[in-house]
Amino acid sequence: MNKEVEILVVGAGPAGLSAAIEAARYGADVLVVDENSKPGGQLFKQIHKFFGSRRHHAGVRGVDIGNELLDEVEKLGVEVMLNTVAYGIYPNDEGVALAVDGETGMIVHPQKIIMATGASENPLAFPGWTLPGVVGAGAIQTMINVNRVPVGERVLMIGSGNVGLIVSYQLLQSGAEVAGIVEAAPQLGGYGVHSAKVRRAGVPIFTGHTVLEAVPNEDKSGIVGAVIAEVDDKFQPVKGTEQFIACDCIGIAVGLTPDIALPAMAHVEFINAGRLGSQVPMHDRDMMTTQDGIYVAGDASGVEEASSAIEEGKLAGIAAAQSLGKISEAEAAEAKAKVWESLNQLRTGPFGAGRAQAKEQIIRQMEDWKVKQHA
Amino acid sequence: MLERDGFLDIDEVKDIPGFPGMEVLSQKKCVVIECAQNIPCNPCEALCPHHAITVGEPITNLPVVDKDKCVGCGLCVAGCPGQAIFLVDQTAEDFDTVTLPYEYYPLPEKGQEVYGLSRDGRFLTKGEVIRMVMSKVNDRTAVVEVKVPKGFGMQVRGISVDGKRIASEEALQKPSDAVLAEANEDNMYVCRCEEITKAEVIEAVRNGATSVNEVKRVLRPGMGLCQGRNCHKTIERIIAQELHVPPAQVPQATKRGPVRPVKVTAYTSLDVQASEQFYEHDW
Repeated sequence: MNKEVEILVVGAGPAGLSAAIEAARYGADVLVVDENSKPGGQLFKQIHKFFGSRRHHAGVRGVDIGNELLDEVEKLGVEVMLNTVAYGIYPNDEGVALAVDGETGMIVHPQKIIMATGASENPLAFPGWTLPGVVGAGAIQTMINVNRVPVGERVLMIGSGNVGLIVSYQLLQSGAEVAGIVEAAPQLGGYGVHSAKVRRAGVPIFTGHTVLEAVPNEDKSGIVGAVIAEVDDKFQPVKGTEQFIACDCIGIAVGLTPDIALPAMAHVEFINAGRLGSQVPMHDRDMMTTQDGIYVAGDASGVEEASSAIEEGKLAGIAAAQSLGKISEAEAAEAKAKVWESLNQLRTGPFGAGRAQAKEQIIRQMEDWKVKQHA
Repeated sequence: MLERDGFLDIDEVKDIPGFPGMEVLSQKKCVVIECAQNIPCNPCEALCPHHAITVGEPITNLPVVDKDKCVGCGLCVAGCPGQAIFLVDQTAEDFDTVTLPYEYYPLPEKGQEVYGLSRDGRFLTKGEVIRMVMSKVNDRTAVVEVKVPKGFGMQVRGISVDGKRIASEEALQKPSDAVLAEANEDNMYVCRCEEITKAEVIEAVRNGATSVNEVKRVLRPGMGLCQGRNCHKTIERIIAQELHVPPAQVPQATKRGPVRPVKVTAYTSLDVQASEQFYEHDW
């Protein structure tokens, strides 16, 4: 089966949904595909209240922001195909290949593509990491927050970024005990307010420590604990500082990597954007990549957080609608300026400034690239 | 220290603009905002009907408390996404009260005795719940006021209803030598789909592989179900370590379709015309 649409959005997370909403609002014919059985990406796992200002839904829980986006998608009549993987993009007019339910092939010929494919969790390999009980933080959230299944009675979290801190808090809320949070750096990665929440609930934090091994139980069907140790200034474990922590689950929250398989198949140019990802699609202020008509948004364009992803999705949606002639240049410029104002707000302060810089660098390199192309 | 220990000590609290001053707290019930990092966030400002909290522009400013305007209503307590807002009342002679946000089950009940915890979760004192608010506007965050002994108003920042979530006093154990001997990275799987160990990857690098693609051709990591999403990062790091270069300099694996595992029928059921044309590859 072949299908033609004006805009194909890959990924129904915060970026993809808000891109679809913006584009559909301006009258574009939009199709959203997502490999999961439910839309919303990671939003429905976020049961905590979000930061920001009112326009970023501050104080609203992620799951409720997800519901708001879905309501709007439905109201606008955007088609969302679930259980549908965009498994390949074949340039030279061959289109985007979809697999419905993992087995039925389908080709879409979109005029514009917005790739909001998100990010995947970084692995951390240490002896015992393949044992049952060593779980990614995202999987923990799916289990405890979405499916209400306990992941363990006593969990050790590796990584103190906002993901590690928030998931630790949510584990406590689910009734689990958190044995501690291990962070290799000398200071915490995430917000102090998140760490304060878990500290006042009795969770110890081990900064300057690493995990050496997961200790298996007798029949290796699970774990009984972890060995952690202090690290030196080269992040090498210091002999003699090893400590045993009893736990039946180890959560891994050591960062995310943009999921760029699809943009890579579309032959977009990548750059190393440091903290946003070592391989990030180069894009301009409209979120357009080096391939005409292919946009990126959200974590796929550099790992940030859900509120920024929503704003980036809007930018891509407006820009795609504009390039289809759905809105005038002036109208689009005004809409995009508003989104940028909001984005800039999110990328301020000691935690956001680095992200703002990295994003500016991506955009600057893209401008240089454009100049070279015209030369 | 917040960045190292994950919580503010009391002296650090006293230095931030959300702290109204000890003197004020002995005169009236007032808000204490323990927000010390310039994160872009301002719901507290809009939540206060008496305009006692100012964040202003830029949005990363720390909230400033106007002690004269605060009436101690506590509408801001549940609305802070960081749960950093408390009400402290030290006006009574023989007790203090602390009002705090609470998001655990079971919820405390009015009159119940609870454990009062410090900023690092240690048990400090028993307290009594004198108010429990679970209103719709607070969106599933309970606001609990606890009566604690005199002098604990600026100390207690958490409560435990059931004795759970209290910092352990026990020291950690040393692992046994037998356990430590297991911490051998060489035999550890790096790629679990194809069961490839770290030692094998190191050997491949020492035999001349300098990129993830080259390791893949020798050992097949990335050819399994995960398509490299799990192992490639780790392999990049091993190559970087062996070659003494930053991980970002290690050439990454080529991404090819299908980008997710799909059945062959996802291809065979496609309605495409066969093409005679050949495309150039990047390798």
